[in-house]
Amino acid sequence: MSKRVLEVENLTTEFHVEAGIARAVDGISFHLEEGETLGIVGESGSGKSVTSLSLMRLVPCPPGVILPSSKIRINGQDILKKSAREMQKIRGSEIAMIFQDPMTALNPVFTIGSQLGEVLKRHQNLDNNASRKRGIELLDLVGIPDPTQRIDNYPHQLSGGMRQRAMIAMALSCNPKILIADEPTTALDVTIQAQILELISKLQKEIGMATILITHDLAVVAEVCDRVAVMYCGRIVEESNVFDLFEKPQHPYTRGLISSIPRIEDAGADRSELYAIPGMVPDIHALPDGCRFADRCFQVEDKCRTEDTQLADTGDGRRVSCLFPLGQGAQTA
Amino acid sequence: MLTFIGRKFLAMIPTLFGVSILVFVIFNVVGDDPVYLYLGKNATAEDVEILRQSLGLDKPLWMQYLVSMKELLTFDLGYSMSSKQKITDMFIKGAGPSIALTLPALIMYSGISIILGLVCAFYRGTWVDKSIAVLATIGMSISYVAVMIFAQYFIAFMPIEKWGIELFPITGYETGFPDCIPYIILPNLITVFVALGYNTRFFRSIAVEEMNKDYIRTARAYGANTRTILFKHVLKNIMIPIIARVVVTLPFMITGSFLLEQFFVVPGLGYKLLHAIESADFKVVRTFTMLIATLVVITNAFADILNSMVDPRVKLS
Repeated sequence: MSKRVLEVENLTTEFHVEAGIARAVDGISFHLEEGETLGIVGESGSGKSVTSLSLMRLVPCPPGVILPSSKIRINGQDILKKSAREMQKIRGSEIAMIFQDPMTALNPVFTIGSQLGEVLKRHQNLDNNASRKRGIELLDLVGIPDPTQRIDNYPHQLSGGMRQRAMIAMALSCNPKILIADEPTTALDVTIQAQILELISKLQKEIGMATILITHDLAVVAEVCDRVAVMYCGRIVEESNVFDLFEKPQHPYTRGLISSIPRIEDAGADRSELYAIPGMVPDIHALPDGCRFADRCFQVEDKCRTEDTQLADTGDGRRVSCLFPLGQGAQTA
Repeated sequence: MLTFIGRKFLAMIPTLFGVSILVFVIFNVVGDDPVYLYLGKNATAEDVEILRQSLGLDKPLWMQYLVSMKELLTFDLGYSMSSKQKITDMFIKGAGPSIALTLPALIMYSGISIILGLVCAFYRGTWVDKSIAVLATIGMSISYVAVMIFAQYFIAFMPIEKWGIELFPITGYETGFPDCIPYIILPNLITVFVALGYNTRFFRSIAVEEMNKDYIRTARAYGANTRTILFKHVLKNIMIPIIARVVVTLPFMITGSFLLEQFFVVPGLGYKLLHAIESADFKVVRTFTMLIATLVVITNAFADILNSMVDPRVKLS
């Protein structure tokens, strides 16, 4: 078994707002092995972005609070015990992040080179010349044509895809062990999406960093991930390797998500309606007592409404949080 | 860059032309007849005619306009009706005290309030932010005049009266550096006190908006410390509103603060303008109006140029 670069135990992130305490992430645990790609999937509001910000300790505080019972270990060190100054050294060098919208994630009044250079100077102690040289190398690495010119461009002079490439260059600049990609392709054109995903997985293989890919797009997951964690209402409801997840989903929610993917074969003569999971995500301030998916589940039973679920092993390194996990064989998606 | 600056300055010409026509119309066409203001209602027709001729008001309007423009452009504006001084000299002599009374204050309160605003935005919602906000609100709620009276009484007058110590002169002014220093400290401090609260709140609000932007999160995610975030990333992004705010007040720095000059008997431009208005010195007032308008147009062009230097996207629009 390879080394675990990231271990998350019982991570709970709350927001103390006027309406009450919103528990955006509720006691989730997972790990990440060296060089692997973990996908975190879920609807909007399922807590996937808060999870990623928690890993960087970037949850705005106030109102956000990571409960002290949580543990986030990067290479064995619990980062929740680090001081603000120690955290600044870790961010960008050990763990880097790329964001959803490359239009706004880069500072509009500084050149690409100066933003890359800032990170290089901070973490690698490079001087101006060396950081510029390295910056050009990085831009070349992420496939930006004409990097010697582009390095002096401002973000608004680049296209969306180019900006996301520049962002990736920034993430790679200090050879982090972990890369968090928070919906890196959502804001991009479909053709560019594929290029960016390809770039991320190619670089990941070359450099060997572990990646967490946060997305609501199952197609993206199927494309690049090794393992997947499905989140619902701040919890992981199912965790599995990517093949088993698509073949034999064990949680009704996962099955619903997979059924919601439009299929080309369904677009035939009858144009049957696209499947959607019925109902709505429950309000975070008024979560049900029992299973949080109970109201939307097709196989809900009385027990589901009273008894809370736990994430339990089901063999083959799979985990599912359901009282009646979908069996192998008889029921398939 | 040079073409951008050139374009900005060329664009000023039609604006200034329009302003000059507007000012001329206000003063020479729709305004009161200055001749009657000077001579009173019992003037004889002969007196009126003589004064009219000497002021050049008997000529057709377009000619009057050209004469006034020639006077402005050659800085040869003749003599003030009330003080009998050369108008050009009046302005040159008055500008010094006015600037000395307000410019140091502008620099001080802008600097301090930008720093306070940034700190508030960074520690938004914490006790640091809240206590500065309370102090700023108190500061901006106290009337300018009240601050002036209090400061003049308690800081300048009372020490002399009670203990015979002259901390600051109560009123007056001496031209030239460094003779003017004792006279300008108190008025400047008053302006800083009055402007600080308001400006801190303004800069805090624009900085708070900036702190919520995605690129700040990016900077944090790559290990930037507080100082880098505030004084590099945020500050450069809020330079446009800062420039707009500071530069817009510049013309009024030069024309002086009427109230301050009146209270501290400083012979600045504001003081002179008030007296010109009192004595219906229409030429001085007209020149003043033209001066302020011109300065506003020039400083705005200047602000545009500064903006293009801090924000690369400005030039495109």
